[in-house]
Amino acid sequence: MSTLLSSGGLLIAAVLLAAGWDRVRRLGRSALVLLAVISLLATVYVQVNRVSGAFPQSDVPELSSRGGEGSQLLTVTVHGGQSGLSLPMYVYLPAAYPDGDRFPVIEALHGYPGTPKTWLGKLHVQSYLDREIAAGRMAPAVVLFPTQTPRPLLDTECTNLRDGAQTETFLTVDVPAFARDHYRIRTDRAGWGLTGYSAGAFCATNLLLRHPTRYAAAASLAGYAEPGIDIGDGSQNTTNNPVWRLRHLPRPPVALWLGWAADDKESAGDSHRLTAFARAPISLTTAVIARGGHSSAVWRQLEAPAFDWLSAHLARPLP
Amino acid sequence: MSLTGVPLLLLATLITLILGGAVVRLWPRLRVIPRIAAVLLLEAALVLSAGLAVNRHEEFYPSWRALAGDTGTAVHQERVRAGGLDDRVAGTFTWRPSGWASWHLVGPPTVALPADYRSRPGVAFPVLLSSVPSRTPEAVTVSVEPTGRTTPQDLQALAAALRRDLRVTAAGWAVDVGPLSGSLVTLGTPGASPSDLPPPLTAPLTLPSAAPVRTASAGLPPAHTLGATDTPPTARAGMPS
Repeated sequence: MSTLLSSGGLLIAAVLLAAGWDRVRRLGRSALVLLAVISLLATVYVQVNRVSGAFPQSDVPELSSRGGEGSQLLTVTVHGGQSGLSLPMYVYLPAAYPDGDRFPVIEALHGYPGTPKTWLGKLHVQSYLDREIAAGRMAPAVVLFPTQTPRPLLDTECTNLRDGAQTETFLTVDVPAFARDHYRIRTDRAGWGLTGYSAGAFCATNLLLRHPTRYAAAASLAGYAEPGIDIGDGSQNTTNNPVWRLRHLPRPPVALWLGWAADDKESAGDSHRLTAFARAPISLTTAVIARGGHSSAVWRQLEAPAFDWLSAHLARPLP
Repeated sequence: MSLTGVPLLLLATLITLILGGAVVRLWPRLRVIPRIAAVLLLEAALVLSAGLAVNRHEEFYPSWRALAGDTGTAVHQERVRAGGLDDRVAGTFTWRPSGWASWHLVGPPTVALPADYRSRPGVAFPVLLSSVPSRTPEAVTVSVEPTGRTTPQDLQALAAALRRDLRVTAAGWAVDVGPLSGSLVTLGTPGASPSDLPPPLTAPLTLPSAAPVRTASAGLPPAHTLGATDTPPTARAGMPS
């Protein structure tokens, strides 16, 4: 819709500029040029936003779609009691959900800038999950897609910013509490995993290392070894820095999957550093694809193997 | 010409500048339709140059092929490796692999297979390694009786032999062998109950792995699993976070 509007505006501005030029004086001409520039910027903004998903197009749509295999996708808002954040979240319920089991849970985090909507749109996560579960390569699981950016351009990297947004608390306390209250899920560590792409992949790795008593496994899709932001307390160089943690703290017995594209220089370099330090008792698996840069084509390629791996490292659905 | 290289960026900028100059110069002589086309063309050139500059800086798409969404690697389904004893065993049996005598156990381990072990040849089963008599229908149960001389290395050797003889997962087992469990965290969670095990799953989709930074010792099978066993495991308590 906004694509149509902005391209229409671009065209109209061009027509006005071309046709109106000879009929107006200097002031009018300036206005026409300005109009053309604004229409161009608006069009670029709309397209960049479409690709990055930085600003949600509208409020979170009331979405409750049934996948081909009978899975469900819900839209909820988590009012975080501990963090004070209220943010939208999508919830994937597998086709087997009505069977009455308690299911393992995967928290899937989005990149920055972005929203969890990218998982559902560009990354087609519902059909990937349906397919992997139907093929028996993944056990039925409840997958949560929480928001990790309280404001569209606030890069939290899923940490508790000093004197700022408490995203880590939201993701590791409030979201699990909400899930416990609303869904039939496993509540033990063995049944909880993390995943994410780009900044969300950093989040998954960092939160796994920081909360090994809450999560058993994490799969990072083109992630980083450090947050790349100033958290305010210097912890970006220490306790919120996975490489620092792996080098200086006792390593927790967790399972970690790192996937990246070989030509994504920053993520490849960071993943190699993590690989070098993630020694026993951490069980590490790596996956590399030849090229694709830092793009959704890469995450799409990585997501099915990542979910399969996660499922094999999480506890089974509990009857 | 490289997508992120300077030549392409220069070319795009040059074209934009020439276009801009031409539009300004020819503007009074152009009719309406050519003017519209000229404006749109100039705008496209501007956006293209800016896009190239941003992509060069951020490296979202390092190559033309990456831009086309070509990732150059296919996902493939991993093959489950058949166990050496798959065709010969069923139900519950006493397992006497070569070398069991050196594991300092009271007797040879007893292995109980899930009922569907043979009918699901594409599935790797999780393992319950236990010193207390127990059995779970959905995992390969290995009952052992350690002695005071049994070491973690003995049980790692047992694990390696088990991976060779049966279709089992490489790690993520439930390990309940008394005080020794704490030294076997690379095999699985100490004290985990059968209900904490992953389900028996079909072979997963996988991608090629990176060149291993550390090679796993003691024959841990899949090459992409780097859970090394030669580093002393560290305590799990007291993790600041």
